[in-house]
Amino acid sequence: MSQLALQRCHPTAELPTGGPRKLLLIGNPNVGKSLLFGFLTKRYVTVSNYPGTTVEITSAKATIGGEQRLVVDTPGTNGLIPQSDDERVARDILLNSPGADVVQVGDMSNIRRTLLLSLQIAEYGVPFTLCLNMSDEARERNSEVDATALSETLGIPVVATSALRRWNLERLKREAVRPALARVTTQYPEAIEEGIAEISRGEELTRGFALAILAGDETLTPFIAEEKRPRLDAIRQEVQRKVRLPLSVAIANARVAAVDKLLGEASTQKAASRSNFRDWLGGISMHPIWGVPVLAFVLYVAWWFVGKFGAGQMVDLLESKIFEQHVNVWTIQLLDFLARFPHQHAIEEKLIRAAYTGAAGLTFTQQVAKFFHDIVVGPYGIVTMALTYAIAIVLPVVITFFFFFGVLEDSGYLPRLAVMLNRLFRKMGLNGKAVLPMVLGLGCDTMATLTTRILETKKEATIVTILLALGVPCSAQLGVIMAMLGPLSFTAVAIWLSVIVGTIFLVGYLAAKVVPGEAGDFILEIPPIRIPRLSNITIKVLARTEWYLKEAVPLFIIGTLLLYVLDATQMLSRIQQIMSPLVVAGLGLPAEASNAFLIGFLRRDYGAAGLFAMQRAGQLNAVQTVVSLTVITLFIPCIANLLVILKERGTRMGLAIAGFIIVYSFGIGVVMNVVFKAFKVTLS
Amino acid sequence: MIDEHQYDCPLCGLDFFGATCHSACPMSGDCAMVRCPRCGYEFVQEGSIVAMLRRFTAPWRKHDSPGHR
Ligand SMILES: Nc1nc2c(ncn2[C@@H]2O[C@H](COP(=O)(O)OP(=O)(O)OP(=O)(O)O)[C@@H](O)[C@H]2O)c(=O)[nH]1
Ligand SMILES: [Zn+2]
Ligand SMILES: [Zn+2]
Repeated sequence: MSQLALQRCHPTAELPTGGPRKLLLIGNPNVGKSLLFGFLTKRYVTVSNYPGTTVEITSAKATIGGEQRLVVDTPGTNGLIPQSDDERVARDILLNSPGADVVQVGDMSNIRRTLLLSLQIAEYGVPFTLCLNMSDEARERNSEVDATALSETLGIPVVATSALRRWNLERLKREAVRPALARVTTQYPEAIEEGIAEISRGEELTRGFALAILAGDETLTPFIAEEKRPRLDAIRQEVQRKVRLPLSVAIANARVAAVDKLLGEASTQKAASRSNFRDWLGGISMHPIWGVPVLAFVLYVAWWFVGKFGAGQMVDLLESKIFEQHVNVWTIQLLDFLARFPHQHAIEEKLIRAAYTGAAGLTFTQQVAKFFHDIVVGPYGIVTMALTYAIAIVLPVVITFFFFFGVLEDSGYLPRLAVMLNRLFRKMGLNGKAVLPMVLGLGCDTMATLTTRILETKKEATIVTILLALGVPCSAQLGVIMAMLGPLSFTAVAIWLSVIVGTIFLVGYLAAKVVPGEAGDFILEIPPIRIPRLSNITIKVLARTEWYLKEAVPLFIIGTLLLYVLDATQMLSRIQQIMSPLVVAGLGLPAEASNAFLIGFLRRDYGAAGLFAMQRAGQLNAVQTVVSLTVITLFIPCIANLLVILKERGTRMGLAIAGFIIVYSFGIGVVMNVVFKAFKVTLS
Repeated sequence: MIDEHQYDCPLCGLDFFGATCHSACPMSGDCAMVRCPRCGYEFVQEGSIVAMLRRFTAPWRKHDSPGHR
């Protein structure tokens, strides 16, 4: 603080010092400061009278943005030239808290009044953060203020919040501990500017202080050394002689003019800052045509990162190095030691395999031993299949995918993708309403299926449900699909992509046919394009991985046990026989691929993992990979999704949807196989 | 269920307090998904791994200085 030369410490005007740094909430009356204070602090609130007054001050310790702070709620005030005891206390706390983090809370619908106070805080040289509260009301009244633009104009953090609806409170906490000096100077009439210069001569003094003296703020008297008072009075009278209006009025007028100018700038700022690269990028990624190459690029990066790096290097490391050479070998040896019966495991490249021979004519105890042996390390063993798939094959893939997806989320691309797809759909005369559930489906298809409730007609809801189940893999599944795409040629990937995109457009087209009329727009607030933060992404990757392990691994184990039982009861080979006309003749795949489709009912990523394992073992060529991958991508996402479809759409409709999806996905696969065969396409 | 966490929706940017609605996914009673009350986007709640890491790194993160933007 700089008014030390003039300022004599107000003897009673100190809040208790020591302890954590202060965080002051200051603002006009009735803007929601107390409500915000409650959310920021939650507990241990102290109410005390401000020294020498009856004004109550609420304060509480809290952790804000990772920092310890003493949060102080000041009385509402309309300006820093106090008109009442309350206002005086607010001003005094502000001036007597050097180094405090100051948060000005304002009513967004009342932006002029808010900025009038902002200008005065700025004039006192106090760094602060501006919180535009009650943004919910502003939104309802259509008087929303662009916080980003205002922040650029003022040069301080500006956060739009709603204490009532709890919007953006986390962001407020982050910005509250990063106040900045505002970059705005109010221009006053020349005589007043001269007066400011005159008062400040030889003194290190803020404009705010000088202006308060000119405006005749008597509450400042205790701050001013007695011997200086006559000189300051003389300057004020001198300036007043040159200005027609009372100085306080002239000063207030200049501030109002400055606010109007500011608001004008903030609204043009939006247009002007388009030249900025990030805004440009944000803009084109929403464009109905230019957004498509952006999306293609994003998918390309995903393919390269997840398919090549994750599915290549990482899986090689975990599967070939760790699981095949160590984990599986050790468990097989351990079980062979614990559960004894005569058999020899197949050995390839000096590695023990789960498959074995020579277990004929076993006694009862040997049968029991074989049972336990097989459940753990048999061809459908929990370790040799479920865990190998889940941890060695799928986990590295989903971790790399989650990393990539975290970058997408953190960069602000997802809402732009939704807007872009919506515009694209509508340009093509399709129903844009389906887009939001589809983007939501990237998070979880099951949930997105539930959101189809908001769609107006049954038909719409049905179509979106089909669209979700057919075309939109949830994030984990998208990862495994990317992995299978990794080793394929660009043409092969392009074919897969066109079939999926074609399907989405086909369903979208049907949607437009069946559901005529203007599609309602959805409103998304578009956050600025951000540079993703590694710490955020790491947290997300960890959280998602944990979720994935908890949610998917049990299903992998159940699926494996199912296969084990089917195999032990000879049902599996029967099923393979039954499915063979479809799988072998129709799709041109090896008979074992039917196992993958079978477990794909539980989760399509598990099915995809099975196909991926076959692909890695060299059992699928490029054509077979593309065909099987297309089928599994179009397949029902997971059993949870199926259950929700049945529940939401009713059993009959649900079964019809499921039937359609199965027929459609296999049908497309057969068509692809036939076409590839007819044109002797090898894709290699 | 009142949840003291605050979340930042990756789709619409809403910061909200508490998970108003956990997943209605029939596969698991308490799935770790959090659903944004404004746009419906569903994302993963910070699980126990992150919570554990936070506890471990808490004393160490205190020394971070508040960066100015
Ligand atoms: N719609 C809406 N109302 C809000 C919001 N924040 C606060 N309110 C309401 O606004 C009124 C005033 O809130 P307070 O928290 O008492 O305001 P204050 O700024 O502390 O008031 P003073 O202490 O008199 O300065 C209350 O009825 C709140 O419920 C908001 O974000 N949106
Ligand atoms: Zn064995
Ligand atoms: Zn949201």
